[in-house]
Amino acid sequence: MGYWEMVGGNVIQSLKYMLFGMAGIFVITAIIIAGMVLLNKAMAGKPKNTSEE
Amino acid sequence: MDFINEFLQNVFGNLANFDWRQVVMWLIGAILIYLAVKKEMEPTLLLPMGFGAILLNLPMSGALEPIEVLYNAGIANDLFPLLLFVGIGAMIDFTPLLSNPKLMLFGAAAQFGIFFTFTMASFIPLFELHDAASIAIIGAADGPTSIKVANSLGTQFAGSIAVAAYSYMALVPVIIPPVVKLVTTKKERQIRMAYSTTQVKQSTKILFPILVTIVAGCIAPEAASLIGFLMFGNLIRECGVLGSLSETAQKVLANLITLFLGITIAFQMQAEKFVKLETFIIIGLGLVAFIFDIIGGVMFAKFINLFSKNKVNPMIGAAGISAFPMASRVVHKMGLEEDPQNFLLMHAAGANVAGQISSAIAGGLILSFML
Repeated sequence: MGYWEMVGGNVIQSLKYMLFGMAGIFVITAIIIAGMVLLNKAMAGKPKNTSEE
Repeated sequence: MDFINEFLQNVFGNLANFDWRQVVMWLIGAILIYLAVKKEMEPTLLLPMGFGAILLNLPMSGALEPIEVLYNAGIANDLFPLLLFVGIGAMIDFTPLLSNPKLMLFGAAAQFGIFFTFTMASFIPLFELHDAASIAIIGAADGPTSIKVANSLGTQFAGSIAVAAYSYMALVPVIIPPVVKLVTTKKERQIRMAYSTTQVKQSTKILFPILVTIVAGCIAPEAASLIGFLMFGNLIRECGVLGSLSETAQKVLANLITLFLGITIAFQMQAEKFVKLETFIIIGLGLVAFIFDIIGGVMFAKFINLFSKNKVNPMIGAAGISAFPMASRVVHKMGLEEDPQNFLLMHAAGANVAGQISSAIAGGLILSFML
């Protein structure tokens, strides 16, 4: 069995998972960021600068 | 003469069971103990692991059985890593992230090394796909996540993966600076970032761990245990009514689990499983994972700078790897070396805690793909 026949399937699968994985992380991250922004707005009101406190 | 032979057989007979690979494991154990004691590199884990490596590689070691019981009770079923996550969650303050939510992006970008290494490992015929995924998770820069994923995927290389993960976490101060300097200019490293933050209310801090658990758990159900336990610990910390539990989780629980975790991981460091070519390749791939995590975070920050009016210091991207809090401290120190008036700690800490969340999500996603 040649080298590519041995690893080819795994390499293609892992490349697919790399794409899915990074896309998945950024999608989840985007949702969490949106949640954080909404939470901050809902709970804290207007943004304040710490130096003003 | 027969009496002497019988005496030697009875008293020293076990020495005949020696295997040269066990001596190699003693040396590895001694190196781990040396790094823990002399260099203070992750001593809470490297020392028990080092001693365990010696203990379990005595010929016909009687310690094998009790440690196997501990292994089955705490690691094979992921209990120890998850309980440790409760303690870690209780230690983390998400305020820097909540006051600047976009830092979460750097935590996500700094997981690139995991998936890059996954592909690299799959080029090596010695590893099945589930082995490659388990090796890649060293790039999570997070011991419990590495152990959980490696065990859940049933790889035979769990011991090597745990050793590599904790060793590289200890080496974060050595790995980050040269890699960051390789991919950034001095001018970029001197970028100052304004420190103005929104006030984070207690109620936001309480709702945040619940929000993250729901979002991550719904999209990547395999991440629910990792994220859930991490966020449970954080909720105990932030709720304001469980002070003693929070303190127990941060100190007693985390210390107790760490104590047993290190020596129990050593169960996977038996000579016949550990001393082989694959271990050295795994250690090499672990370094690749860390390096490309850092590069991923830095390059993402540089990409953001192409469009952003308020420039980000690209070193913040390097703090997106999970090794908490060391990565943020290293980046802060590098910032001060480039410009003594450049205080990056809060930004770096935000990216660093984001990395803690993102690495658990990455682990969950890998499990979702592979199981």
